Amino acid sequence: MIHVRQLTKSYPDLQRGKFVALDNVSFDAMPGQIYGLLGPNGAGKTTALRILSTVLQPTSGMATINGFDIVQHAERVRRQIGFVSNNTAIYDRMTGWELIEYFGRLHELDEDILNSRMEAIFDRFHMNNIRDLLGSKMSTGMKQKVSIARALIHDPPVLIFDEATLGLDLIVSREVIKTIEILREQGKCIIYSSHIMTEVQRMCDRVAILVGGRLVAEGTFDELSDRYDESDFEELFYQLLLKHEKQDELQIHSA
Amino acid sequence: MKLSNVKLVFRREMRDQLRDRRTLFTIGVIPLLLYPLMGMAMLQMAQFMQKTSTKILLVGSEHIPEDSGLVVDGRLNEKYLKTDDKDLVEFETVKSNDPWGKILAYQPENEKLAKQNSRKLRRLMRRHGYDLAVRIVPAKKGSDEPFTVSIFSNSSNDKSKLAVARFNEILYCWKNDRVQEKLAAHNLSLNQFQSAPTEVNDVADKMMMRATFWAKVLPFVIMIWSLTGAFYPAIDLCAGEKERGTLETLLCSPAKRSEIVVGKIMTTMLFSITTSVLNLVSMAFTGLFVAKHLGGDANPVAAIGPPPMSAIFWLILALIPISALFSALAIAVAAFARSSKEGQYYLMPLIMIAMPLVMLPMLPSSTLNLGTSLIPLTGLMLLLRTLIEGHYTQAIAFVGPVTIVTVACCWFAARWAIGQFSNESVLFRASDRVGLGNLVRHVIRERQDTPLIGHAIFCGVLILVLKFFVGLSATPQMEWNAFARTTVIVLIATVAMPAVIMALMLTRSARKTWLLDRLNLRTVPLAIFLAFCLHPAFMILSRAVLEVFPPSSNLNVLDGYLSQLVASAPSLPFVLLIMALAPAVFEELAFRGFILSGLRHIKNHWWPIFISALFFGAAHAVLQQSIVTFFVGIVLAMVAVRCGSLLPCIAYHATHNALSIVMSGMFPSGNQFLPGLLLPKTTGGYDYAFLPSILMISAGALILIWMWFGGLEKSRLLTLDRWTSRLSAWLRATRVSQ
Repeated sequence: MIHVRQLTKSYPDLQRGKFVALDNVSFDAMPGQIYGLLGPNGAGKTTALRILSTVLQPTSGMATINGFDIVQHAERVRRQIGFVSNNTAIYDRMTGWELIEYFGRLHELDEDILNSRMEAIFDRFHMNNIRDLLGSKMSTGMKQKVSIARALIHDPPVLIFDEATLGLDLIVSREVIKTIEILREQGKCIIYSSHIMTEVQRMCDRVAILVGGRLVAEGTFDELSDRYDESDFEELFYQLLLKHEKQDELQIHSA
Repeated sequence: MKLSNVKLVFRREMRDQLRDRRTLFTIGVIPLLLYPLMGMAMLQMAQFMQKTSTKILLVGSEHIPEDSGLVVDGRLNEKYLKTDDKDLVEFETVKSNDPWGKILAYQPENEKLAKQNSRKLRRLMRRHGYDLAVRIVPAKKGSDEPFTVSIFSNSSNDKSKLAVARFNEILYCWKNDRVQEKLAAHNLSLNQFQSAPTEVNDVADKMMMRATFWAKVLPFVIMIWSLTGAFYPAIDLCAGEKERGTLETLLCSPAKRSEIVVGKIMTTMLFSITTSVLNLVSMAFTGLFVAKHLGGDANPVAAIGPPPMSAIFWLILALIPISALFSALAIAVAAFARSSKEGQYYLMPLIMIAMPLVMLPMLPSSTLNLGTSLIPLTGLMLLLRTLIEGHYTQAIAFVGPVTIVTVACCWFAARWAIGQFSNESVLFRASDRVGLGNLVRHVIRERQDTPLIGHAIFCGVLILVLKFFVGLSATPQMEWNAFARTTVIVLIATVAMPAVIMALMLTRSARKTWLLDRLNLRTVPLAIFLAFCLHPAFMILSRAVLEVFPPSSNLNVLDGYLSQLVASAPSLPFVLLIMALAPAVFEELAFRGFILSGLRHIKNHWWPIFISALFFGAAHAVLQQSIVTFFVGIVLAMVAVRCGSLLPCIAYHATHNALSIVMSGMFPSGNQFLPGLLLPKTTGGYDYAFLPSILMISAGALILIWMWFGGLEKSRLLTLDRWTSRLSAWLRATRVSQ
């Protein structure tokens, strides 16, 4: 479903010359699977997901979503995905209903299908109370629900969640996680990025650990535990982080 | 581009803006309330303005004879004052033996002392509240005049200037009275001494006067408000969306960037039009109300009346392209900003660029002609003015050029805005810590074989700035040797030096940058032949440009001066060396060498050619010359791209320059160089005969097309050179191994 091969993204940087945000990253995610992207802040998770959602273009490498190349067929890729990020805010001066309707229309849904889907989504996420509420009057949890509803309106086969529970209270974040699990059961291919260990461990079927833009480990939790001989996943993650940060420091000194 | 998506984006943005109180306040409430408030303030101010009183000190009034009628009871006769001014002038009269008399009488000849005295007098007048001091001096014996008057005023003070006007009015009326009295004593009348009476018949009707007045005011107002009205929504739609994080949400949707941008441009455009119309209506109503209140029909402003209906129609019609252009520009510029606050900073440069183009049509001498109609915004403003004035026949002739230029500008601006939204370094720009050290390190680290796009543009701008300053400061030389020396020095300093220094500092290979790594000597004769063939086309273009933009008298003087200098040159080869070869070498190093090499990083064939030609044209300070050199620059850049070498460019450039010198007729025997091709010499120089010029242009066009579509690569001209260089490399390698 999602095939990523040697994806690299670098930016010109006055201080460092070139800043490599993503360095030769490759992975595959399949339908009915939640694929976790795990990494500390600045590891390149958001960059990778922005590239997959065609907002950014890769410097080199390639990726396909549902068979469509993210560079060659960017518009088709955008029809295949639903992207929820803490960067993808909702409009302050639009009601929840208007916003979902707007994105449904951009996805060229028929009037009847759009209306029935909107009713279903508003029922499923218990959002009927915020139908006519402006974005600026919504709480963070409400906004995140609208954001998820916006990403689901066109029933995409691929869903990308970037730190989707960041800043949410326990009840709302549980609700979001439950929704994502239901979507997996529906056979969606889901990429979920986070730096919260418990969340990833609970939800994801496979994980890729990113540090400094590089993919340092990839596999199921069992595979990773066996490979690194560590049953505590949080400790495993911490050790990997320390190891690669030390390597980076050494590289900087030798340079 | 799907229109349904454009419509969706447009409707959403409109709804969003209409729900924003700040936008509604700026677009709707401010125009409707601001002008009435300003009008009210003006009325209040007018009261103060009307009642400005002035205080005049009169020293030595005893020298004015009582029978002169100017003084009554030691005071100036008030009958000579205007009725309105009678209560507003306060006179204080002192005798000449008063200290003031001594102060005013002291008039040192020494410049320093005079300055000190003026300062002291100014201080004293301010301290005592006098706006004007007048000293009456008794007339010298034998003089016809009864007395002379010295006035001490402060021209930097408006009240003092008003006092001078009022005092002069008194003197004028008094003198007039005296003359009439004296003439009457001899049974004569003043009318007998006046020249033939003039009767002025104004054929303009009231409507025409109204149209002429509004034609000057309204286009300017519309232009300013449509720009301002476009910019604030544009900031909210671009920088505001970035700030709120909704832009990324939209970019993830299936809508293309072009659809998003066009939707945003349309929203901005509608707001721009609405702001302009509301401002116009509010300003007109308030203006007329204030004018009427100030003086009814007697007041000239009130007498003008409201703008004619046709003016409103033309304004609304013109508003559409004006707003479209400003909206596209505003969206493109606002896309740079990371926040609404940062967006505000970009408004001023946009106004600064647009202002001269908007102000130009306000000048009384600027009229609608082919030249002005081709200037963006200015042409449109002048067309609008002509239409409002009702000169439809004149306007129709220039609708075509103005429409073409305006549509082209709108298209370029829209393309730029779409480009901005497709450029992730603009959309997701992070702030860098800029410091000289970082910048230098970055420049050295990022050096490539050829310059970067930014380096090329910087070099072009630097050349223009240097040319501007050196051009202003260089003293004109009246002798050939000095002229030749100055020409070469200026060329090196302003054109060659920036390109040479920047190529050495900013690139890894100066030879590659200057296209000197491949000499392609065989293409040199071809380039010379091409220059020869295309020269008649540039001559025709040059004549056409001079028809459209006639040269000023200064330019003709400069031309004459250049002809004199060239005539005094020792020989033609020397002239060609200085005026043809030297510019060719130095300008090619800069424009086709450094600038074009840098611009070729743009992934498009035509943009580097176009931009380098634009710099080349702009570097020639005279507009008429710049237009022609822009097109020469296009051909030169095409030659550079296809030949991959600077030598053919230098050859082409030098040939072109040499032919231009010969054709200008500066050398009396110019036709001996091109026998059979030229018509007899006229005052404007030589011209090509019709048939040869047609044949030459056709041959030149064919060569250029053949060259551009890869003919050169397929021909033996380049392959032979390639084989020669391979052979010499092989020979060198064999020699080394032996």
